[in-house]
Amino acid sequence: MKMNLAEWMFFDTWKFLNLMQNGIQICNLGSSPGKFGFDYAGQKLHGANLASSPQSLAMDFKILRRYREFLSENAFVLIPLCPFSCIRTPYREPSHYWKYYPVLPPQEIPFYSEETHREICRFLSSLDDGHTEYPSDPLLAFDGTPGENEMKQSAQQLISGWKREFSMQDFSEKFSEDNLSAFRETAKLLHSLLDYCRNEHLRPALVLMPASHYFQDVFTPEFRRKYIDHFLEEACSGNTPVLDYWDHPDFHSDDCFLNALMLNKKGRKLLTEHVLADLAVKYPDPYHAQQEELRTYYKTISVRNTPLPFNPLKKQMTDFIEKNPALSPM
Amino acid sequence: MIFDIIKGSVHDGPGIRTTVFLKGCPLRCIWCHNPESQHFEKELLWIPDNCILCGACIHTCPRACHTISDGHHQFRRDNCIRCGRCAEVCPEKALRISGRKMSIQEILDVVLEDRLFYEISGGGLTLSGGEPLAQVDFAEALLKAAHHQGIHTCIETCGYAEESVLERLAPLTDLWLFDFKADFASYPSLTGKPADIIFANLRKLAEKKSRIILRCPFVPGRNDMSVCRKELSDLVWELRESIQHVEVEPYNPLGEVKYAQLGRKCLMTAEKPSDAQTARWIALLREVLPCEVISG
Amino acid sequence: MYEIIAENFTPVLFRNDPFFWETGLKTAEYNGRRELSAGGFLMLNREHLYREKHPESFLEYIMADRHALHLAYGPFCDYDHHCFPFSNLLKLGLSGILARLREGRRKNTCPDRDDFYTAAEKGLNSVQKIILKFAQAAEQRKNATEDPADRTHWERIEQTALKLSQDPPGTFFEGLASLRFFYEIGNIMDGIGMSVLGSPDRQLIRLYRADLQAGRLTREEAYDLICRFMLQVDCKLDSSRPLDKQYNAGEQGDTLILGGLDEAGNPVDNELTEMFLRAHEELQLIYPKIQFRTSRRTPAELFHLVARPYLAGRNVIGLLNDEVLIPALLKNGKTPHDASGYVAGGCWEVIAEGTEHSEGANCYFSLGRAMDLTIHHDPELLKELGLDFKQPDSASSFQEFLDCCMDNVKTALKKMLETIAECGSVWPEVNPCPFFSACLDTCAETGLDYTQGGAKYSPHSVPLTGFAIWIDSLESVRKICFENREASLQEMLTAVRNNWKGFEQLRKKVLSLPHWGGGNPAVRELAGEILRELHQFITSFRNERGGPFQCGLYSYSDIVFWAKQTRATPDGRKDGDFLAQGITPSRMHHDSITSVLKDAASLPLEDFPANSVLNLNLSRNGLTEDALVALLRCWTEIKASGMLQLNCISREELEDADRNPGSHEGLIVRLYGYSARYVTLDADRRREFKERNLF
Repeated sequence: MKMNLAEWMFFDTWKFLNLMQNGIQICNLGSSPGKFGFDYAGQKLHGANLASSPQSLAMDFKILRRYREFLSENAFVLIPLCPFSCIRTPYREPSHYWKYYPVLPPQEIPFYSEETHREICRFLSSLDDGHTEYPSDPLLAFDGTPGENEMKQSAQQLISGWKREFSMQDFSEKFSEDNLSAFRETAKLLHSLLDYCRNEHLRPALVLMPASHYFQDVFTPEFRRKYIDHFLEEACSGNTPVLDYWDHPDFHSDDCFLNALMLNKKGRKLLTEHVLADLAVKYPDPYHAQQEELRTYYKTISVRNTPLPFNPLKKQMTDFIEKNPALSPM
Repeated sequence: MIFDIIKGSVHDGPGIRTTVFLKGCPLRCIWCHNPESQHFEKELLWIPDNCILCGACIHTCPRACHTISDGHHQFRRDNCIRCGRCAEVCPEKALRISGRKMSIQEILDVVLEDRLFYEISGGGLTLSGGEPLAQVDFAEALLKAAHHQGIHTCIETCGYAEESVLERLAPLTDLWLFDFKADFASYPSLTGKPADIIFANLRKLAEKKSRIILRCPFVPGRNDMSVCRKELSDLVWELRESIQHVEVEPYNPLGEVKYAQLGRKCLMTAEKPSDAQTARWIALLREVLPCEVISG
Repeated sequence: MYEIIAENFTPVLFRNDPFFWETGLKTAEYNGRRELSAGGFLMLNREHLYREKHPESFLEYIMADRHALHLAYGPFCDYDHHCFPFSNLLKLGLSGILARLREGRRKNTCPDRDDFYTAAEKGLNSVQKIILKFAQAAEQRKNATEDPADRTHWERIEQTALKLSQDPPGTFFEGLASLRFFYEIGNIMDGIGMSVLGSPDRQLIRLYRADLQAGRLTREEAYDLICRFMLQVDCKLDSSRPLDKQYNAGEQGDTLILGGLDEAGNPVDNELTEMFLRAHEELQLIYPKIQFRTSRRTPAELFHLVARPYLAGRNVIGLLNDEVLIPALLKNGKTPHDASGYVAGGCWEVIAEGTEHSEGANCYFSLGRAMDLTIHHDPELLKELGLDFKQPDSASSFQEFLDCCMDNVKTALKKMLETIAECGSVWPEVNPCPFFSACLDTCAETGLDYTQGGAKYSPHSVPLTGFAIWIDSLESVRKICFENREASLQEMLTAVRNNWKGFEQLRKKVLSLPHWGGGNPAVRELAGEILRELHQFITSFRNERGGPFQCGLYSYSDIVFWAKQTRATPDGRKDGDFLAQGITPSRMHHDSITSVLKDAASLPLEDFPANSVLNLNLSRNGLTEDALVALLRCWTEIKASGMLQLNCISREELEDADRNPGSHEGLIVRLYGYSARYVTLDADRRREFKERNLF
């Protein structure tokens, strides 16, 4: 069987084999916005980007379950939400899932076929000598800003693509039966994913990813209500924090983006910093205050021969003994 | 002829095991970390750093192989008949004999000492070496005796032997630790023997529905090329019903020192692979194998 | 003293700690002895009685410590390593304890018990007053704030304190608060040290489940409380300071016991066991020290949970073997209920909780030094020690040599035990502990302080150390001098007396002999006979409280520091070589782990209820979790020792830690009953640790 395989298909998922280490304290799931949205290098927490291009929520969940063992107790799990996350259905083409063959067990791969698996292994193992490392997606290194025309064009392309994908002429129109069904299914899936995190003592947070201002005519408040807020009401239970960068002023400038939707290197660093700072507020370290208070206390009383203001006992005891000499052989 | 028995091993198969190391091997892997296992006969190891110049060996040696002058101990290995008398008297183990004969019963007695551990942990007896298949009569008798006692058996092998050897030993072996050392074409230069017999034997074992763990030494620059990965992938796919998992064994430079102690030329020198190198190779294998890959 | 403490102390409350416990008295400095707290006033001012009543015995006893023969911590009675009788408090509460005391007084017809009852009652009343002061302080803090979260915090402390001033706890939170508070108060009132924080999975499971069922508590809330409960202990550890410069002025003894069997032989492991283990791992704690009790009925999942930290470089859990310790306690007179409730305080001192203090860490006895003193003729030193040792030179058979050695060790033991009995009997005058005693079983009925033998059991533990040196030395003389006749006894003695210099060949022969841990049946038999004989001898004496002496096999960092004074011995040891801990084989031999475990399992460990400790260092290279779990199960099921001190390490990592300490801050090793960061250890401890056998 001849398959049209290419090395680049496996770029994103190679990291699951090679880079996963124990003790990951923060990770993100997600599709392209997630992949381009987070960069933990140089941060205090040990982080891992588990997103790949593209990746549905269903596959996010499978990846999380498979690599849960590498996450520390109470690790943060960031779930990026993009404009159409709520109605994106699982991909129906078997080829979409080829990249997962090396990293997930067969039962977790939709349309799994042993013949396909073998072919993939044959392909990968026949890559040239000197196959030392998959190159990173070059877009990840992109630090520049496309011009205004390019940004406009990419926004237009994305909008057209979404309309085609979801069979819509206008994003304000009522959901079709298919989209409504997708909405409900996706809400249920997100609910399960959040429950899983809680049961596994992980700390989930939903991240509304920033988008450039080139979508301002599309991503109106009505759009937001329909595609984001309503979805979150359906999907979330408990107190899952929502980190909202949908219209964050720090991302109004073009120099954070590599196209109308994806963040560039600068934008990704900025978003990561924002997220970490906001997580510290939403999920404050429950024990930090106790530790600080006690350690400070112990430090003050551990110095030898320091008079202790709250301890007059020595004098009391000595006085008592002096008044009752019969009690003392001292 | 054996050269060691190690009890309480957790690295040579499941559970807690007693590993019997048979002396002699048909292969000459350039990375061998137990070169004293290669020759079938007894050998003398001479470790100058341990010598305290006491001279006890001089008097016991029947061939005057040892002399001490100007504060140095000279050892004439070409005269040595490996009688072992000098090793017996050396107080600091600067002289050691590798290789001794033991009967089946003697070995079995040692193996049975830890029966309780096997029962609790799911362990047993492992034959290793050297190459156990090269002493088939002995191996067969020992495995039979172990099985008779209800002890789980395992053979660690390079696979180089006649088919008839496998026919005799396969029914007595509960688990095979089978080496996959390199790609087919590289076997002669890296191990001294062609691979055809070896791979044929591996296929034979799979046909017999034997349970196999593949052991892959990892020697960067020697057996980590893509052709090696490809052939391993093809092989494991072909035999996946029988192969439980693959273990990667990073190169151990311990052997380099031992060659000098044996008075032989070391076939290869290299650094031990770093943890990161080993992890990357394991990741590359995981990418193309349908079974688990772990670090041995 | 109790009343003055209660009257004058000021409660310390923390905004961020849900529990109340800090009286500020732990560091009360009375003449420089920090660790005794305010209640140590009495002891510090009266311990001169020890010396005054028996000056000669006192001096010789102290000399024995200085000369590395036996420890003199106390000096005659271990004032540390207690376990507060939590189970009684959890069942009866303070008012119940008081009622029990009064009832005991009413029924007691002995005329001279009044003082005890009066003091005990005052102690209990004082503790009630102390708790009420905490309640009052919390109420004041509550009234001084408008913040709802703060008010809730203080309100909970106030209500809990009010409750516990009278009644036993009724909720999981109250249970934890109980353990925390009484642990501290036990450390304060009587000038004795508590080491055990409790067996919370065993003791609080009913409260936890009731709370869940009633909707008073969620699992997450309970987990949070567990984390906070343990964090307080960890906060005492200042990782920027060496271990011996910590707040506690020494290695910390806070121990938490998990797991084990109940009196019917059923495992008590439950969801709390798992939560405590997970919390300890999540917070990366070293303290409290977890002592995990195993049995053949311990589920595999728990073994895996216990094994995981070891493989991550955190060697922080001590393992206790119910299959060894419960039968040992039963054989030595404990009821099934008391035996099954055992704890190990401090490092490893086995105590039947609620019923006794076993005096487990006061008089470690060095068999290594005893062998040294037998071989090396040193009349001046022996005179200082008050010992009349026989010389082995004229022995014409192994039996004569053995008899000489055993007579000498018995002479030394007899002296130690009789001195403890004689001088230790002063202890009730030096430091009676009526409050602690009132909480123990039976003191209320007997009207006697526990220092007078009033508790249900009054054992005094005699831990032996250097066992491998003793056995290997005897075996060496037997084989070389009397069986194989490769050297005369005189030659052997000369060799040892010369630190083996010029006798390298002889030493080589000695080192190649059968030895302890090598799986040799004759050595096992000898070892068993020796221990049985020592057990019989030691238990023939009565201790300072009229109770039995009981045997143990362990010691502390003395294996490092006593070693410097212990000269060469016939097992091949040279001057200053480290001693062997507990029943751990000598580091001069490198046997298989199975031989070591089997040799250990062959010993009559049921005669060593104080505990029997085995150290094992395993190489982490290639060690899987399954393999480690298999090993732990084997250790448990073949009953290899009462306690396992385990390390999973790699030599490369230790060497790199010496060169680059900054990269190995997280490497924690198990030493002598406690764990510490490797990079904070002094040179002696590092060397000792690195030279241990690595399996």
